[in-house]
Amino acid sequence: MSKYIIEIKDLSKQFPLPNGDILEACKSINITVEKGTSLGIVGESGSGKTTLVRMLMKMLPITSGSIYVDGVDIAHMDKEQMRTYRQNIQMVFQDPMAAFNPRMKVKDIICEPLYNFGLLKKGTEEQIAGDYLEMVDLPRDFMNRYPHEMSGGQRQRVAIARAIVLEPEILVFDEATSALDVSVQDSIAKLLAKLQKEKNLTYLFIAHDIAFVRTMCHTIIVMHKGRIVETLDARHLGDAKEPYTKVLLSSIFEIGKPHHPLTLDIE
Amino acid sequence: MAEQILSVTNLNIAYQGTPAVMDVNFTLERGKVLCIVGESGSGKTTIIRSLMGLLPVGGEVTEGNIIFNGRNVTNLSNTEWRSLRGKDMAMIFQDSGSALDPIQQIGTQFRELFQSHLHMSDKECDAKAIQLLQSVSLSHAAHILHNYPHELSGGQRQRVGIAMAMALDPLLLIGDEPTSALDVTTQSQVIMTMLEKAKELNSAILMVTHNLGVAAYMADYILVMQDGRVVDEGAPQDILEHPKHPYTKQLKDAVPTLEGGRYIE
Repeated sequence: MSKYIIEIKDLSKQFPLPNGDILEACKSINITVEKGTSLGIVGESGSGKTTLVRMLMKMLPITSGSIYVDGVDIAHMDKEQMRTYRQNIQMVFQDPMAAFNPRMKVKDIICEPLYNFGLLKKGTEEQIAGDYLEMVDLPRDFMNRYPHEMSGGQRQRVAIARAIVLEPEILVFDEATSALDVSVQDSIAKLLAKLQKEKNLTYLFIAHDIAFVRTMCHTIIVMHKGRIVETLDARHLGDAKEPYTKVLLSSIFEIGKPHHPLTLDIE
Repeated sequence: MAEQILSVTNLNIAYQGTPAVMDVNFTLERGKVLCIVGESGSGKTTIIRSLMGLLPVGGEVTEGNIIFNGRNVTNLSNTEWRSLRGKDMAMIFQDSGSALDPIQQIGTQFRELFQSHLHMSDKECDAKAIQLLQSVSLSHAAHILHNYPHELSGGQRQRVGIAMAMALDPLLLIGDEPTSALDVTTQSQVIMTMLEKAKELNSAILMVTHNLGVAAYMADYILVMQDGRVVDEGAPQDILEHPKHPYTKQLKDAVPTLEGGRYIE
């Protein structure tokens, strides 16, 4: 078996446009991710990062190339493999308020994935919801709340609890902390780092804030107009060579540092 | 002496009797930038809403005064507010895009904005609108005038909102996290455009943000808010680069940087 949990080979995605043109959202993408590590995908809106993740999540069909997860080609899975896959990979979105059913209590939100997979034994809901709430550093009695009775940070913790309740190996975060205050983002980041260590989870972070991504990831890939322009060791962003990566890095406002953003000359 | 645009003294705001903002004082002069930072729920948005007379139902200024451009605006009627807003003070919301009219082209909305305050022909409006759209780094500005809001991306809509807020050269530009949802590159361009514009017109900017990097770059003066009170204030070099107050330090330590600590090994 491959040493990589995720292996993406020469992956492309084309969308036909109404005027007959073709939009190539992802162009020959190659990525490998080792188990238990975090990969950050950064780039502007329209760079193809969301399209890439949607293909990984099987929310979009692949145009060409392939994605292997645990050595299995996700485009050709039988029913049983598909079931396992859907448990094995989970996603956390930017706005949990939009992802939750507003009329469901927290305990039902957390246990719903188990219920959907027929893994929920009657009468165990409260025990399970309580345990997972504790895992994301929330009090057990939050299980009887509704989504609107919590702050944004608390809701995002519930979203994480719901994502890990199926004991997945891979978690995908699509701008999951970008709407949060820095101090809340800080506490969520600490929680995710702790969970990754305990459960040997593999993380994918999609974000436009390269400063945040570098604090959470081992490797960062920079996407621009559907291509990977650079792959970086998150500990050494200073090694960036590509002009576009330098533009991204120079656009970040930092306390106590002069701000001299670069621009791409070729547009 | 520099001309004072805004003076807030002993401001107290309550929602249905529950205090949300307590004893806030600050002044803002022409050509200066003030940033208010703090977590959600700290009262920063409530303050700027009160400055625009846009407190939600149930919210009221219970004590204190807001003097804008020499005029006490604490208890204005809706009609009086309407003549001030847009022209003398303008606001950029976090999601300005959703404030656009979905069934009107952007150009039409610009014309309405200009013509409700000034005597301008359609042609003049369009020319000015194109210039404004270019200043927020929107390419194909002439084309965008014929677009409907749904035909633009979220970032483009936000930039249209920012251009509209700057359209009538307001004395005071108020921003509530105007760039938080934008890409880092666009954010950088928009922040610099706002500053250039303010400098050019000698107007003032009041920004609410949780991005301390942006605040440090833009602000001449920063207020740090916690639980409805100002807990720390000063020039960015003084309070952010070497924070003395524990809460400011805690906020700063939570900001991810390009060279600082990481959450993983």
